[in-house]
Amino acid sequence: MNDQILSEQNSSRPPFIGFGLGLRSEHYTDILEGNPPIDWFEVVSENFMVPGGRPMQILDQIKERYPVVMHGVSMSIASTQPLDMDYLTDLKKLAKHVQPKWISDHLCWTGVHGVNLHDLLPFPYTAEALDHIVERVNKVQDFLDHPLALENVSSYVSFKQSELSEWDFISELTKRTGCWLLLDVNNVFVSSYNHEFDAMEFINGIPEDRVVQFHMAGHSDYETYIVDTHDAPVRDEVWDLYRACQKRFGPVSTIIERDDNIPPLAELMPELEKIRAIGQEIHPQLKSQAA
Amino acid sequence: MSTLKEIQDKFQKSILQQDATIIDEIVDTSKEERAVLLNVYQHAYGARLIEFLENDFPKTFTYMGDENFHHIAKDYYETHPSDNPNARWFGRFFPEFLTKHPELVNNPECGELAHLEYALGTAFDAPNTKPLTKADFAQLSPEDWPTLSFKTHPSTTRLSLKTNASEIWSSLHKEEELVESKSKALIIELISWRGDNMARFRTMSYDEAMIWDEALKGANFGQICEMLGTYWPSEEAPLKAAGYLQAWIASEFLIDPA
Ligand SMILES: [Fe+2]
Repeated sequence: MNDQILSEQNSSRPPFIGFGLGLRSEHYTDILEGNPPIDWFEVVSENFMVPGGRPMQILDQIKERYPVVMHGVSMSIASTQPLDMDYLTDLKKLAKHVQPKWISDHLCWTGVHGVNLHDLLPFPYTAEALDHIVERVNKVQDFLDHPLALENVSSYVSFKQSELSEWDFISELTKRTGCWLLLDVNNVFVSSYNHEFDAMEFINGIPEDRVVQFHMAGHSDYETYIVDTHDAPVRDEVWDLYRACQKRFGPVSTIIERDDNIPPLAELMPELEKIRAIGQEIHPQLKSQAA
Repeated sequence: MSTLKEIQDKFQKSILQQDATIIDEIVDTSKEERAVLLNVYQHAYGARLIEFLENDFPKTFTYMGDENFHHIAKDYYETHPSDNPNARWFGRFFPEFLTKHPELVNNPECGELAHLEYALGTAFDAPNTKPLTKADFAQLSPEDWPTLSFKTHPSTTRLSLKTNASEIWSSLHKEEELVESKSKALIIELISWRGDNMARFRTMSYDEAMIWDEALKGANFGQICEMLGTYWPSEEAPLKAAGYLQAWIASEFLIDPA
């Protein structure tokens, strides 16, 4: 019951590892044959939680050359069904092999009663939910041998019962568990639009020293709401927020998260260079490190 | 006040049954009604599951066409919600579902095409169990051979098709003109496996398929030679058996039975 004792893994901050991409199968050949100037890769854990074959061979080649972070979609940390220990055991096994700089998943739930809806679902920001999730995060951190970072999701509905803002909820969670944060800058924008709050209030409400990674992505605008589609370039408003985030939390390792309508690697590189340039402009010491 | 558990139960019901169970728990915004916002999740749910099936059964999808495939995929996810944290396994009952679907009784090639695609998926990411090599067999003494038994690599799947689904697969793969489906008095014996890191399949002759299936059930080399005697003169049978065995070893179909 002592939330103050942080798990050992999470007591030291993971390193800054630069500017990278989410690893997608469409780019395997270009990466392995072209050695593009990408600092690191984020891999979707579940894609490699398969028995064998080519996926793991590719990952082995990638991890020889680049730092890797494991990003999962199925931890379901906010679910009221028991933690899936089989899943966590497989995840830990993969982490043992990959040796990621950290492991991340989303602050959401994906299903109850044994059903997986394969979506990142929202929940009310209540004291009850906070207690529940704190307990689960502590359990997962004790179980995994790697630092854990949780990501804010894009959401489309909010609940009558919510007592806290999303940023206060996340702040309390990181204070009570010592978990790290993966701040998806696009998700902050999407949720601020959908739930009519000020994105800067969210950003300024998150503790300065807990964010270890940013996600950058595109979205689709339906006028009365925005959907986090990850199928398009980063929008102007999100670039502005990224700048503010690098200022407040930085330097923070960042990737582009493109899941749909995936362009050739060469077409993503200018966007990655822009992410790097802004990071270096705000933190000039990164430039001398790179040189 | 609803508990977190009650809210999640209601939310899930609203997604699975596409109903308004959760509506009293969520709020309108100044720009949009909550029912429309809830529908973002309700719509995304089916769309995502259909996409999983399209990705895992791309040729079945192309062959059946958007409308037909989506309609039956919807039947599938409504009766087989995903029960695994990994979407990789969501479609594991889909081939059999197509085979048994009442609207496809006259199109048995659809189910068989899906079975073939699932087998290729299995080949792609099956465990990296070490295959037996020529050298492993070279160590056997002549008296070991008759009682030699076999275990097949987890990347292999045997299929007996009653349609020309494999020809349809090939014509789709080569992007040639689609061959017409045939299912009269037809049996095509196939095996799929992973070779050089690629998922592959090839046909088997009836006698090779028979001894493979029997070996899988536990028949030893001596028994296999005997069975081949029903296809070939008895003095040729051991030679035939040795030939097939050699091909299986070369293709890395076999693993240590111990
Ligand atoms: Fe993200």
